Amino acid sequence: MKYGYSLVTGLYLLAISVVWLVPASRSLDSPLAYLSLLSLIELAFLISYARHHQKSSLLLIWDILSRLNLTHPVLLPPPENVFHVFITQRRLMIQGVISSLKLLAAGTGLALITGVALGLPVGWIPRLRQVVLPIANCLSPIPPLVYTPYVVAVMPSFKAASIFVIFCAVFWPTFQNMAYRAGNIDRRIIQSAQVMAVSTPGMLFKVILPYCLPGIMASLNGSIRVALLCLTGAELLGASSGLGYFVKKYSDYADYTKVIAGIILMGAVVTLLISLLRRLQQVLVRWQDN
Amino acid sequence: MYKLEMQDISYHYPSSQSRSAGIDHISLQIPAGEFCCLLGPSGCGKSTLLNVLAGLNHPQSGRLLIDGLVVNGPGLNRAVVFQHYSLFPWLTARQNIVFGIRQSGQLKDRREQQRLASHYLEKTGLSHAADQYPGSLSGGMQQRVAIARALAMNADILLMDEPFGALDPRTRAELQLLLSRLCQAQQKTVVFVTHHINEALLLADRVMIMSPQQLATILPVTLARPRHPETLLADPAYPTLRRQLLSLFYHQVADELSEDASL
Ligand SMILES: Nc1ncnc2c1ncn2[C@@H]1O[C@H](COP(=O)(O)OP(=O)(O)OP(=O)(O)O)[C@@H](O)[C@H]1O
Ligand SMILES: [Mg+2]
Repeated sequence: MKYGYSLVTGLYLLAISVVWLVPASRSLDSPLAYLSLLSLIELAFLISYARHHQKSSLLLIWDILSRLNLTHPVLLPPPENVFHVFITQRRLMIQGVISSLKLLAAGTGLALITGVALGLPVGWIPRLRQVVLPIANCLSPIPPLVYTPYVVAVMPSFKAASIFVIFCAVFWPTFQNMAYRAGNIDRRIIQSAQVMAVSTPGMLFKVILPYCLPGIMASLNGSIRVALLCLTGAELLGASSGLGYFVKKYSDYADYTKVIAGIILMGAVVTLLISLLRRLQQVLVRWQDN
Repeated sequence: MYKLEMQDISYHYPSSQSRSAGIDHISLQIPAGEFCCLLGPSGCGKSTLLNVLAGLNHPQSGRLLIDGLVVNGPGLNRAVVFQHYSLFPWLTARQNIVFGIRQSGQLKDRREQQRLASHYLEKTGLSHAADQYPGSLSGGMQQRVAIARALAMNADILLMDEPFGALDPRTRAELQLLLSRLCQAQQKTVVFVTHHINEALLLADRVMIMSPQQLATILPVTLARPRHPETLLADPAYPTLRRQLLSLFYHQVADELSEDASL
């Protein structure tokens, strides 16, 4: 760990000195954003002792390569310029993040509610299960990405289209998981609730739902990635704001500096979202780890 | 009028192919306030009978009556401790007990509910584990939570399926005493499944011995109350009763043994 620490700090100092000392051979934007990112990474490392040196050294290699003019100036712009985009384009970026997250929240929320509400009775009532599950098993494996372009073309507005696509990505796994777990619930837990005279709504929401929650959370963890994939895919096709739209717009202008910045932003948002979800999962199903 | 009455009840598991699983034409009457122990070999249908009384197994023939009224399902007049403890794994020990108290509808005030839960947690020696989830409790601790939940629900009738089966001798003795006092004081009607003859003699007003699918014998236990493991030994009626029960309980085994050796 000590070795890793000195390596990271060394790389950090090297990166800074490269920025100041090696003369730039092409015009650059202000290095302020880039330097502060480097400092942030260094700081994050010092705090967490995590293995950030890979990222840092990757940045350094990128930096040195572009500085020595070894890279294509348009296709792989220097890191200063890329990170400077986060300052110049922050309005558009924040707008993009917000509009994407809004759509994601709407689609996911809708899918969770309907998935749980429909999965509960379908799993719980045997006859319904026999009828509905074969149909669901047939429809659910179609990857939403396949029909995304069609949905975007057919739906009246882009908003409706992307919510629909996200809904499909999250609904099926939630529904199937819910139906499966509600159908296979431990009979002894049901008996225990029955002798306490739990009413039917109580049985559904105070017994079966908490019993199924770990499964729902686990399936959400996977399906939210697919949902993001579909959303950005849809945004590439026909949005007027959003993360995918940001990338699409500037790649049409061949402004790859901004494209790369957009991709980095997407990665950051996805990572943040998934780690948030994992935290939520830990809090909600604490009982399961014991 | 009896508190609990089974009239010629048969129950066979629909999933089971063999007719030998379940119970066959059982009738029994239990007056209010009586402590009934159910003894019998493993697999003879004790849990099946208890589940019929709980209203979980719907008999194919015969009737179940409580206070003279026909009953068709579970109800809050009966509290059940299952052989499997079946707590809700997503609730802590305390929350499990509070859930039972809420269901029983006896207390509206949340603080009162918590107080009652604390009371039974303490009585069952679980105060230190109150906020743990069942997954992190030992079998004996889970069983005690289930007992605490059933007692806290304050039902007239207690149905208990080997409730002390997973407990160490000391905790078992403590809880026997607790249950015996509580049932005396509140005049509860109890059906209590056990494998221990001593336990049956300590707790019961009547012992019922089951052979496969049937009630074989009913034996009144006329020992003076309050009973205590030590004073019980001094009771002159105790050795006779014990011998009687033993011979009934091990009836078949004893017959087979007597053929080849005198023990
Ligand atoms: N859910 C079930 N489905 C089918 N058969 C069952 C079921 N539960 C119990 N049985 C059968 O019914 C018979 C009686 O079972 P029961 O659980 O009542 O026995 P028990 O007297 O409680 O035994 P133990 O002392 O081991 O708990 C057994 O032969 C068992 O195989
Ligand atoms: Mg049993």
